[in-house]
Amino acid sequence: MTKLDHKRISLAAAAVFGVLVVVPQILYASPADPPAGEADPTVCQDCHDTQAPAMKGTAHDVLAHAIVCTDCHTHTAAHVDDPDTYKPLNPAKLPADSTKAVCTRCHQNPHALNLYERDPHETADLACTACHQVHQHKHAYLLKDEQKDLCLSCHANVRQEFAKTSRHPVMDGVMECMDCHKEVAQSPKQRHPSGPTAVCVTCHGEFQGPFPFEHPAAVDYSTEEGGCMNCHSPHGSQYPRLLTQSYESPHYSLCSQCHSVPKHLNNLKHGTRWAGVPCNECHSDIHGSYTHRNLLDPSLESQGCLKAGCHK
Amino acid sequence: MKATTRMMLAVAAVLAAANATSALCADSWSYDGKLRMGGIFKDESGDRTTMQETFNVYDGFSLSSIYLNAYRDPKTHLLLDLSDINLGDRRGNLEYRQSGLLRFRSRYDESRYVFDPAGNVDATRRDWWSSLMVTPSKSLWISGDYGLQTRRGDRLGYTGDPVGWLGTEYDNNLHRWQLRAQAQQPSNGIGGSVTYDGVKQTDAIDPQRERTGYVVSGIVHVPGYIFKRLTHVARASIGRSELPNVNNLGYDLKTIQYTGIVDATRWARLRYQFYSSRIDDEATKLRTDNIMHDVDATVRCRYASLTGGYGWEALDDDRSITTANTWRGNVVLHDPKRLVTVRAAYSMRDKDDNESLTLLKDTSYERQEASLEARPMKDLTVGGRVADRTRKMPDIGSRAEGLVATGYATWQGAPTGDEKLITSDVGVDYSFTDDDYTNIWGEEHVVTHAVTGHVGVVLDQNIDLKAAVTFLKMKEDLDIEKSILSFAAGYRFDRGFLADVQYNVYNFDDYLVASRYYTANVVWVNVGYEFSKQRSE
Repeated sequence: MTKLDHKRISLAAAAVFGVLVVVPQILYASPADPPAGEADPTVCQDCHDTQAPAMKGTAHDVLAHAIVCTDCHTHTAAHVDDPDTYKPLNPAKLPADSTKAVCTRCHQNPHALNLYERDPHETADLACTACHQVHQHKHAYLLKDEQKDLCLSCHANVRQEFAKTSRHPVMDGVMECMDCHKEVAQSPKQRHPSGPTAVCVTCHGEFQGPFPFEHPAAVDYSTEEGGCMNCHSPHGSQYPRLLTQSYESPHYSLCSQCHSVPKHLNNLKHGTRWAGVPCNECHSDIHGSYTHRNLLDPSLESQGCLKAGCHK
Repeated sequence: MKATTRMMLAVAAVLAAANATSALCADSWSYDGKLRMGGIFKDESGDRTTMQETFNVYDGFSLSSIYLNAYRDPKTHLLLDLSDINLGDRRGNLEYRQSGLLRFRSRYDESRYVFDPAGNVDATRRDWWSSLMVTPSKSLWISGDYGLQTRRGDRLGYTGDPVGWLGTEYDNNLHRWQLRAQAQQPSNGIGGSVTYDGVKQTDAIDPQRERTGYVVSGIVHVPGYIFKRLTHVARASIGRSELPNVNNLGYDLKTIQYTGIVDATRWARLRYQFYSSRIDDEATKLRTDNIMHDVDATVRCRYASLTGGYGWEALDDDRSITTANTWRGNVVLHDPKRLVTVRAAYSMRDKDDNESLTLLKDTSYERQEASLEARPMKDLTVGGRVADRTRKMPDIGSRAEGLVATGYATWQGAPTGDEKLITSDVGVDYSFTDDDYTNIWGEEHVVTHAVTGHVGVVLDQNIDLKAAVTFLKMKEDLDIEKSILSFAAGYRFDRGFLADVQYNVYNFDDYLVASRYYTANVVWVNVGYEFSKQRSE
């Protein structure tokens, strides 16, 4: 790279930085916050008498002195003196990051910490109050609606997946979204030390490794970047067993998307005998095997298939 | 086992009800509750495996709901919610909370999965989960969770025979438990937690399938260290998973993660993340290291936010090395009141197999997405999303492409000027997907159209009317049609008595496989009683 190139890149970088620094500052010029200072929180209910009963029994129960109104609503002193001119800061109406700053003063739980890292909701500029409603106690975790209704109100495409033939039973009330999305849609590696598969084996324990012989496609820490979702579509699928692709003759595309080995169909010793036969007719232990490195069915041994020279 | 479970559940319900009744008789409680029971009439024909929605709908008597929500003093809260208690389907929630001191939650559900067209080959899963959290002070939380899942019944191999070690039946228990202590200094937000997760799977059919494991992990959160606007989150964990009956074969894992967030100003944020893990696998005899660096920058203003990020990742198992580069960008635009929000996002990931030793070799992923949500009038929300994604594995001639487009509209509220129509709730959404899979052997193409909708109204404070529809059509290499229609009506009589009826029609047709059809008519009829009492002051 020449000196001139360096100069141009530096100038371009400076220009981009300048735009990013100056423009938002101008656009961010919002009406001034009301004067700082907090009122005596016991006076809030003199006017806002319907708010406190709505939080009864929750962690925000101001009647039980769990917290006081001014823990969340700041700049209240001026509002008490002149309610029409000055409005206190309402976390539900602040920008997403400011709302989060209020909530995480108390809620430093793993869910809140995840939001500090990388989360699609945060990237989409959604505040805590997009899902949680503090002044009510109708739904668990102070969600605005029943969990599945709340999530599917934005993720409408997932509703379609749950309508398919094979699916996780979320719409039947047997499961909830958060059974899998435990700490919301955080990057799986950050959520669980052993990767996304760790979520699936919470229920499907028989497929949790280790196996003496692993299928790399099922192992999320392998260099093949495996994991359950290579073959299974977790919300729902038109194919049996939540499979992502068809497992039907003649292509068995679920397997042939990775294993394009021609000898299986036209092996000299087998002729075309295996054409059209499902892969797991022999490779039955597809999630991992206790006996054979090619994940073959143990019963093949008694049929003489595993003798020296063949499928060792 | 079924009888034992029923007995346990019945005893628990009676004890809880008895306890609750005696406690609630005291004047210090406020409560509201509901009891609903009735019958289910089900008429079905065809392939039972095609309609998962009716797997757990049983003909006969059903205790549809026992619900109790009670408060005292006002720090104590009790919630009991049991539903769908019939022949082979039941679920329940129990929650007891004393604000600022403890919270106990327990959940149970039971469900059946059907594997054969006649509905005779099935398996039942039961899940128990309980959690106790104690908060001795505002800075300290201690919690313990325990979950047990049992699976009993038949299992149908995919091709019938052979079925491998999975066999033809289930008889296993999966135990999971977690202990967590979390502390936070209220004055400056410094906090952390230590968590122990354990798991044990037992199997009565084949002991070699039994497995155990644990992970101990810790998180530290330190805001404002080094300089005020820098927040640190660090995580670390160690763990092991093994097969106790296969020579204790297993793997060890270790992870370290760090995230640093700089909130440079109110409108700009820079985030750096580092992740590393090592898995020592005794089965494959490979030690796999995973290292990842990620940088994201976000700038915001009143009307927009812009995020861009780059990540680099490497996987090294002493035999092969793969590296991946990730780019992502996201723009959100909205008006100050968020009546209209527009979003566009792009992400891509390129994985290079440096030594061409992996099966898939180089892979690349790309995704583009755009969405719009608007609230043109009070109570009305309309939105839509289009996403296009591609996965390419050029070295093995494999490619997957997918397009998804969705649109939705919801309206909730009470129309003005009509005193009889108290509330109403209307929602409709449509989804279109076009998926194309190609490999060296052939191509697969599926197009799906799906519509769901619902409407609900409350009339005259006493009458509930609801209707819903789900329609699914798959074309191209498949030809499947599925629909569910639902109609419900309920009436509240004087003194808290109520009655409701629901009628559902299910249909499934696979026009390429003649035997795959299903139709069912199901009617639920319930009577109930609602009660409530306010605490005497």
